[in-house]
Amino acid sequence: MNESSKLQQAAVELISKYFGQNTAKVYDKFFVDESDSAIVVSVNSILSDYIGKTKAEEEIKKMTEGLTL
Amino acid sequence: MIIRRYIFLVILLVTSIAYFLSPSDRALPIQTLYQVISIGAALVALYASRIYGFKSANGRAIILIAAGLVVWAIAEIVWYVLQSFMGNNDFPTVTDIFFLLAYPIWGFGIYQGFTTAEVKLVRVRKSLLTLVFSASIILTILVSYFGIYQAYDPNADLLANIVAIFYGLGDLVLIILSLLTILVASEYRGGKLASFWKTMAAGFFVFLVADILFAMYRDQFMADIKPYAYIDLMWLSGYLLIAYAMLENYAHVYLVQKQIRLKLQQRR
Repeated sequence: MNESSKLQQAAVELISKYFGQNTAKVYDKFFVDESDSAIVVSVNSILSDYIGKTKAEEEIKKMTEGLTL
Repeated sequence: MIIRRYIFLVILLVTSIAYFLSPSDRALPIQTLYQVISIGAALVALYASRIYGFKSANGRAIILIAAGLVVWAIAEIVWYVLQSFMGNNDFPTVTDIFFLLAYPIWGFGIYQGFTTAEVKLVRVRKSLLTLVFSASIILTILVSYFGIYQAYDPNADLLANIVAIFYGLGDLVLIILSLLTILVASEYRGGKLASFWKTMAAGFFVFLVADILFAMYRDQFMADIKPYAYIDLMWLSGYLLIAYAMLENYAHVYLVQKQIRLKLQQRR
């Protein structure tokens, strides 16, 4: 699996954690044609609104750990 | 959101007026009103929680809390039928199984929420921690005295005493749960999920105060003496607060889903 696919999978898992599987499935389809930076921005945006900026940044950091973007 | 908030406030206001005006708060019409609202709130909570699915960590917490509320609503229905239609005022009854079952369900739910949030105590404001712990100590003393020590009745049988004491222990659990919900809310500071957990904390706190007052004034409550009969309004407030939090949360997640589906459609 390439790094972009790993990022997409990690992003979808993170969305599923907080928003549930139904929301995550829709985002999975949406992320297919999105760049890595767009995926990170998108996840950061919905998470910041829902779990607060500080927590969202923590989760994004964990999500991108070990990935070469 | 404002309209939803006002709907819940209006329901509470109308119910309060009905209680104040009714010559008897244990009478069938008032108790039926209580049942309709408590069951309605529980069903709203359950419906709203479904948007997540059980595979989501956050969703599991929310679904379990809603399930606990439904179990309490079932207990209310059983108590309503036994008291209002069968004239049964015995203690304990099958009602108590459902009331007590809600506490561990809520416990699992809030623990799931706490672990999902990965609360870091060092980040919680010291003033908030001090306030919460102080309140917890006061409530623990009240519950331990009225809900456990005074719950023991030397004239009652062993089963009645065990069940009575278990209610007190359940309220001690509720104190811990309320504390955990405040810590979880603190972790999501600035986000919509923080509002959800704060409202949950308010709901559980109101349940706890109602339980303590019931333990203190059970005889007066059962004798339908005002203002003790108004303890019902506190339980109803708890139901409505939790249902409101669930509905607001549902509305947000639904909006997120709607927005991303729209973006997908626009792309095609």
